[in-house]
Amino acid sequence: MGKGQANVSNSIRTLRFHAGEMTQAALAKQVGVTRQTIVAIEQGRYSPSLEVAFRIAHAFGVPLDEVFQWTPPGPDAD
Amino acid sequence: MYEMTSKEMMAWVQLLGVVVVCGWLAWDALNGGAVGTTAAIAQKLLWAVGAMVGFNIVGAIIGTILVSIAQREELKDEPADERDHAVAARSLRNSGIVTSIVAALALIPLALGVDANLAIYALFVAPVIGGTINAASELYYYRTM
Repeated sequence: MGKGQANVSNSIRTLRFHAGEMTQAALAKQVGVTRQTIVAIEQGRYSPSLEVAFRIAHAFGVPLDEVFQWTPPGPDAD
Repeated sequence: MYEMTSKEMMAWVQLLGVVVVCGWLAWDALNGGAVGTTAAIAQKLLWAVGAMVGFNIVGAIIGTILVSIAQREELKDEPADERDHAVAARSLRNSGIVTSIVAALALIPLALGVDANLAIYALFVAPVIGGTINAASELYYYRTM
């Protein structure tokens, strides 16, 4: 867990749309976090713990890498 | 639309309480209230602590009502999740650092021979500043992480 990293993106908004326009509140309830945390994750401001990440993937019934994507930092990155 | 959570509302109430009580203490000090016996100053600061606690209780009730009306939804304190714990940990760290620095700095004038009553004020001011930093940090981290 921790502050969102620029090279971690997610497809939660799209997955919610394909899940019958699931609300953030409904997803939050399924995952067991607050709606504000789902908002922060969706906006890429907060990277969840591995457990919450798996719970989100489970809520959509998809593998973890369909929810979160990680791009390796370029050669210029520190 | 800006949506305030219960935890953010409490942080705002805490900040407002500090402003009100410290404003009263500053006004009192400007009117000669900063001098007196150690016991008298300590009693005044105890009242200030009590006023802050009372302000937070009343402020939480009034704040909950006002925010609920503004957001047209009952403001409930949800159970803390991992992000809340992360925000609290970072805020507490900031608070601890500032409290320690202020307390240590208060020793300097005492070492230079300033009135020992300053130590009573330092006992009050250091944790109040620490609490203020804690509340301000929570508000910052809830908006940025």
